[in-house]
Amino acid sequence: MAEIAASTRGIAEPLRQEVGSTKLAEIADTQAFKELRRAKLSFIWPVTLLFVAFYLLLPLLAGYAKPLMSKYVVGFVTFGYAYGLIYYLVAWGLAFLYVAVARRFDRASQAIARQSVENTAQSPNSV
Amino acid sequence: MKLIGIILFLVIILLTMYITYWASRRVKGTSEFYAAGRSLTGAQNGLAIAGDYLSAASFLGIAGLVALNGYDGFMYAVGWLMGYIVVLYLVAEPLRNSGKFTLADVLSYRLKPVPVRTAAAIVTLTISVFYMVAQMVGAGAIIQLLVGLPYEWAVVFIGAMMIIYVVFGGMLATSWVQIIKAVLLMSGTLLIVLLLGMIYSFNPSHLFEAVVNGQGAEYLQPGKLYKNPIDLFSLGIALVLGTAGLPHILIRFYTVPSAQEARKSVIWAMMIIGVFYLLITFVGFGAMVLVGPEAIRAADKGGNMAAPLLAEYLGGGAGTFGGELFMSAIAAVSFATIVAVVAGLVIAASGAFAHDIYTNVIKKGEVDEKKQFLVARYTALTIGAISIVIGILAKGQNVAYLVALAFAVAASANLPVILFSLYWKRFNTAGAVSGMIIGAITAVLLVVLGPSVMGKDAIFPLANPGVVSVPVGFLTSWIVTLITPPEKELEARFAELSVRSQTGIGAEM
Repeated sequence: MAEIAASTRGIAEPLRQEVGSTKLAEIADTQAFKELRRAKLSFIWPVTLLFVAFYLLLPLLAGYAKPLMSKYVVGFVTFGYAYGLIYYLVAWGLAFLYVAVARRFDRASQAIARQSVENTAQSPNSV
Repeated sequence: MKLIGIILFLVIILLTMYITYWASRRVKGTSEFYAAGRSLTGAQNGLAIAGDYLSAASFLGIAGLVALNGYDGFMYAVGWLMGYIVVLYLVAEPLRNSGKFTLADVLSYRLKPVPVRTAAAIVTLTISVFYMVAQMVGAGAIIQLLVGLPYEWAVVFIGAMMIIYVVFGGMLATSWVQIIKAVLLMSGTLLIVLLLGMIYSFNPSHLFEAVVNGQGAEYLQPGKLYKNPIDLFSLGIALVLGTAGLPHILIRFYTVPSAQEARKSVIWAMMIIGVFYLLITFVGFGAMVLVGPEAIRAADKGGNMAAPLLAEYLGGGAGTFGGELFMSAIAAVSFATIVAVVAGLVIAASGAFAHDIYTNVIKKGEVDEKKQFLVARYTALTIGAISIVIGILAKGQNVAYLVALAFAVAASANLPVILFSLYWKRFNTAGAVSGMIIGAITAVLLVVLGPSVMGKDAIFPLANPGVVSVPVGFLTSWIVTLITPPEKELEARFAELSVRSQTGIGAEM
């Protein structure tokens, strides 16, 4: 958590400025932004879709695999209960995975913002 | 009501009123009113999200579902955390980066503002009103049960408190009321589970053994509550996809200063909400074993008294000081729970009317800040008053299904349009408006034609419309976009939106 806070402070300055739409359009055309966008989308979409599909297995198993769900695995803990607990662990695991991966995206965004500030400084009439 | 209960209620009222007084001196304009001046930290907002999300239905309702039905109640509880993965991965940060106060801000950045704002505001108002009516009716009944206050007075009382928080303290007061409520709710639940753990040597297997021996093994197996797996699947779709379309949750991301803090707040919220749902099922199983389903049903058919009755038992039993103290504390926590949730809903609804419809559609943004702030507060007052009236009129109605309906509308009408707006270049205004309207109408219509409203004569067999209405929402947006001409002049705005939403460059401060 502390690391995220640190990266927030670092990122705040170059990002926090009035940005005209010409400038946003310019950034959209840069290679760096296109790469960031591709990397981000190819991470967030597959993970989310797989997770949603995985979650929807639970009601299906409860409905159609009752004997399996009713089996005791440890003492009086049923497979269905243990399996349900796995969902919490997977959700939390994915949350922390996201935090770890998003740090990389933060650095890329920061670099893009810094680059665009430098470009503006060089050609003031581009904004 | 006993003296001790009155004292606990007064403590909560005084504390929240002090917060409102404190906040009212800081709320000077729309940024503070809608977004708490973007001043919250990620951790604070995470607690507030939990406070906004964990309703009386989660606390009293799910404990009761588990106490009366066992495993099916537990499985139902799992779904409530899962939607936050969609929130975290796809929605929270882009929304924070590209909007100002409402969901419609993001859509209208790249689509034609007037039609999408109008449609989005209508959907937000629909979801918020359904959710609010469910809360108000549930609240009136619960307060009556717990405290003995007549239903109508309970509704008026809760409505008045929530109006005061929102009108005078805006999002700042609401956030802190939600934070306090989250802390109280978690503490109360933890304390119950701690005492329960001392009985069962902190071993769930021992508790389950008592369930098998006392009630029967079928309480650890699926199928006691849900006879139709497709219905449960349908509810699952609405839960996992609906959270990312709930306006009162999404606007919370505007209260933090950056996307990084928004991310942190989802992590905090997921921790708190996950632990809460894990614990609440223990509360339910504990109540089943220690209080017994008959006693719980005798107090309230729906099982809402499972948690308070368990607290009474663990405190020493009925008639003892400890029992009474613990039960009153749980009643007071439930009260705080209800007001915090309805206050969040009122802000979401006010934003949809005052910011989207009044300021941006009717006045085309040509209103000064002072007027906007005034209209926002009058809207909150009006919406609060309307919710009190509806709450009283709906007395005795079974409206618990309205929460599931709110999730279904959020998943069918809001989520497709949010995702397409953020991620699909070709998306256009016609697709957005038709997706929102048809998605919402399908969800509402299927519930009206379903067993929740029509009972045994239902035309649509499922209580939950998600399995049909969510695909309808996505497909409508998609197909209508493809058969209508692309909006060439607005495609450049999509490029800008994607830079803003993905990098945070140019985000609102």
